[in-house]
Amino acid sequence: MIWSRSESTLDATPAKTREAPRGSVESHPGKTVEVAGLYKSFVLGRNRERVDVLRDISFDVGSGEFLTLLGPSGSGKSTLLRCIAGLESPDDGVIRIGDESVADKRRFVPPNRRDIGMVFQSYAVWPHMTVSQNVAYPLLNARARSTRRSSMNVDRDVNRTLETVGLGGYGGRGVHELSGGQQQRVALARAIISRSGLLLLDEPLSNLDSKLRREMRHELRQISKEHGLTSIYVTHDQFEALSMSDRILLMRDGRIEQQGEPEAIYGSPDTEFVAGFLGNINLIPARVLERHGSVVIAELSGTGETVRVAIPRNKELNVGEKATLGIRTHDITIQEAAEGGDSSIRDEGAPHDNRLTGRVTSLQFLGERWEVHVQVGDQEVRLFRYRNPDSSEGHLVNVAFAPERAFIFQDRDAPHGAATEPLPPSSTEKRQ
Amino acid sequence: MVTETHAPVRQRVAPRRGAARKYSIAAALILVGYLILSPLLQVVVNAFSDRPLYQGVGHFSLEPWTLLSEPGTWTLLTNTVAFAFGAVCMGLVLSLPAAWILERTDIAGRRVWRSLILCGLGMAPGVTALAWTLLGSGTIGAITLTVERIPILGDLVDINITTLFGMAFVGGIIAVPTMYTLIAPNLRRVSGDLEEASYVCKASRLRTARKIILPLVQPAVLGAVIMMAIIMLGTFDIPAIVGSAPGLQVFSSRLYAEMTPQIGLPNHNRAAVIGLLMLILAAALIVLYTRANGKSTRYAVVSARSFRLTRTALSRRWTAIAQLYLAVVVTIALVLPMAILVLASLQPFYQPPADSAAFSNLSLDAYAQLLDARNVRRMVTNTVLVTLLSATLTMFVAVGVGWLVTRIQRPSTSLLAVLAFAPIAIPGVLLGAAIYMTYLYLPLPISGSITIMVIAYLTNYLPFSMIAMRSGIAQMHPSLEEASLMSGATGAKTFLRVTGPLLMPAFMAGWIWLVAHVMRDMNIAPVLASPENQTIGAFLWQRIQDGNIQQFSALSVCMVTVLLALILTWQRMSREEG
Ligand SMILES: Nc1ncnc2c1ncn2[C@@H]1O[C@H](COP(=O)(O)OP(=O)(O)O)[C@@H](O)[C@H]1O
Ligand SMILES: [Mg+2]
Repeated sequence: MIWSRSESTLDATPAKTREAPRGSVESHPGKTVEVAGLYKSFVLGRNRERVDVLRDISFDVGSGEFLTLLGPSGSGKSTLLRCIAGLESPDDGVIRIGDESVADKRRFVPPNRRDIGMVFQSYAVWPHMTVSQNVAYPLLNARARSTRRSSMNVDRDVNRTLETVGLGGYGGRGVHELSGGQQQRVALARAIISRSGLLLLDEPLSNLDSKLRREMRHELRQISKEHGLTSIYVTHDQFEALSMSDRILLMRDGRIEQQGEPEAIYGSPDTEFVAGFLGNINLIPARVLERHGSVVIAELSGTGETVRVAIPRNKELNVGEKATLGIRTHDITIQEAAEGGDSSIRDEGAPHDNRLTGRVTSLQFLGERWEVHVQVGDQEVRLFRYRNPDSSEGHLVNVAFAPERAFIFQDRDAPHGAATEPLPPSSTEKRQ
Repeated sequence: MVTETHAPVRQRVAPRRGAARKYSIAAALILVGYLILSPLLQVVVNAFSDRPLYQGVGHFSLEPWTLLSEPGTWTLLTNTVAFAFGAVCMGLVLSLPAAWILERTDIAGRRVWRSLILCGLGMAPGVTALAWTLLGSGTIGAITLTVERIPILGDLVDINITTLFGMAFVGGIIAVPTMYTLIAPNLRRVSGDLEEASYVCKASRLRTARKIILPLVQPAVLGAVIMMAIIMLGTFDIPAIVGSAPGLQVFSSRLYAEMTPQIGLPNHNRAAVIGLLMLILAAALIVLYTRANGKSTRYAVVSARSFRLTRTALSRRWTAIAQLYLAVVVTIALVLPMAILVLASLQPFYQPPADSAAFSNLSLDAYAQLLDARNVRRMVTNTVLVTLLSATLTMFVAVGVGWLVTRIQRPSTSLLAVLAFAPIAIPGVLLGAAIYMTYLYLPLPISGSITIMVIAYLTNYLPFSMIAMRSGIAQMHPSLEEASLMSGATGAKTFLRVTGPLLMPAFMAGWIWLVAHVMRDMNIAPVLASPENQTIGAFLWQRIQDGNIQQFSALSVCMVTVLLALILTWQRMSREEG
């Protein structure tokens, strides 16, 4: 599970290398982390209301794994990370780091005794210390406890760690002389120097400009892998999550919505929320008309069109109820249709593809691609073209997509009417 | 001044505004220059003269400097340094942990404690000094006598406040509200991330406090320390009251003694020499401060980027210790002094509350006498007039000068800033004496009037109110004013409609601070007092010299009550606003 992923095709930074960690000198086993049944609430606002921020969170992180906590702002990612760091104490639940229980009913280990490295969103480098002093600080504190290290060793370690993060020779500078990206590297060096085996990162790239952010994504992952560190990375940016992680844990309102490897979670989102959050998707209200094993026929609201969607055989779906159709923007093809709605002309897609007819309402040039908006009945379909589209605004077009590329999500809070009998997958199969 | 994008508008406005600015800068320079240079000139000339300047310009002479060869002078110097240093240390011990507890921990009752600590502003130094003399003097002290009765403790501990240490103790109490105000916001501004990063780096709480938080607030703490040391240098009432019995003198009380000797004529020349020595000490402190903070640009990073307010959760034991500590601070600064003053104001003659006789003859006679006496009514009128005039005038000058200094960058405005801040280095009692000398010399009929007091307070408090206003002015973006000017409003209208309202909170805060300080002042008032312009400070000082503790106590209870009411009202107002 740890490091067995296939080459990604989804990545926005193709240069990224995803090789197994090279036999590095520094390599040492990362710590495992176990979180079970974690709850945390805060008292908020003037009326002293208690709000649950984390609800029943359970997950494991393997040694050397790069796990990302992804979710919208306010979903509790930072709180979860801070619980693992010991900066917040959970109301309930157990946290184990390595073999040690650091938080449970009876025990709470404060952060300074947890042996972790952490990078803060604000960098939190100390302005009154030089780069070297910042980086050496964890070593000197550890030394206060076990006077093993000599000061020569400290210097050597600091210099080597600064080399690792690309700040060789910057040791004597004051941190206020550094750019944001360089301060970020100081924070990273400080987090990895004591070789804790567990690295926690809270949106470390969110304050950098986009170009630097892309470079740092790659570098962060590489450093973490080369050092064999277990990493827990918090972000609200789906591209960061998809491109860096071994596994993603998608959070919503203090709960884990879905977890899995990036391709898996992108390729088969469980819920509309997950699909929407990972981006580039059209979500169109629909109704499930029929189900034939792994094929569902749904009607798109306000268009009169029906489409076929392939779903896993064992997925539960209530026929007759409201649902949402999801199609990724890059899975849709577009073709000029003859005026009058004749859709029988030459077509890019396969014969069994779904086809919808509509009018182009807008066409935006975005550099490497075009974003096209097509009005189909009352619904708007958004898609990307990587070649110059022949059509222009107002033209009648066909949009097409394969049933295997579309998703259908049952509306979570749709009322379960008495008239519509929920049909478990097995019974549908029997009917077939 | 003219930028490309705004060129057309600026060209239309600039000539008229340019001239107005030039005149205002010139006027401000003349005013501030006169205020600060005329007393300084008096000090310098008198220090090198064979007779006081008001008798006409004498000959150059080093005769006043023979003071240096007198045996008592060195003691004077060491006493002064010990008093100022001790008071500042004591102030730090009382205010830094309090600020820390109230700003960085989850202590309960934060608002009440903060308010109580700031109420200390209402306690005049002289009042606290006398109260603590009544509480802790070796012969009549209430606490001293009580402790003596406790079997074993009484033999071990000898409490006596009328010592150098006692002076420093009282000075420290007086320093608390000001030092708290200077330090607390800086402690609050240290983002929680910086603290938490240290914990994650395996540092304990104590080590984090020592290695991360203290160094980050060190410039603010040093600034508070230096400012307080200079204020203590110029405080004469504490040493004069606490040190009178054992005959302990410092520069400030000696200066006052030279200006108003019990027998013989005042010796302005020797007073000027002491004044110059005080100035040198103050200048040395300021040099020390600028040297220490010279490399402090590195602290600019603090408070930049995302700020996170973190309040450390205290364990039950530490909560108890912290609450106890705050209670001790408030008790020694506010509760005990007020209690003993109330008691003393009710007794016909002061008797320490060590036996029941002290409570047998209580009456409100002292208050009744105050209501009846004619000179009291005059004193109250004077006090109200001087306080309101000085506070208001000083704040307006501070707004004007502060605006010029922050908004216009020219050599002339830099000079203006230096001049306006200079009085910070002139210890209060010296400024009073120098202004007294000035208007004895100048043919202006304001000696012994209310005007001279207003001038003295204006000069003395201008730097403090500038500090209060400057951040307020700097916060306002110039575009707000420009927007108004371009929409056709005149400069005056702009000020009234836009600039004024925005400055109001800072203005009010500064004004209240000034009212409290002018009213409670017992440094400048006694030097400048005459029967016509006597204010409450001079009046109280007179009671001390007459040994009328009963009236002193009654009047100080009244004054502190008024000041507390003012401070609490203001606190409530500012809380409702923000
Ligand atoms: N110390 C705190 N006190 C009160 N509420 C908090 C605290 N920390 C976080 N919260 C609340 O918890 C929720 C989740 O916050 P956070 O974990 O920071 O979310 P995320 O990192 O996913 O954006 C937010 O609504 C936030 O307001
Ligand atoms: Mg967060």
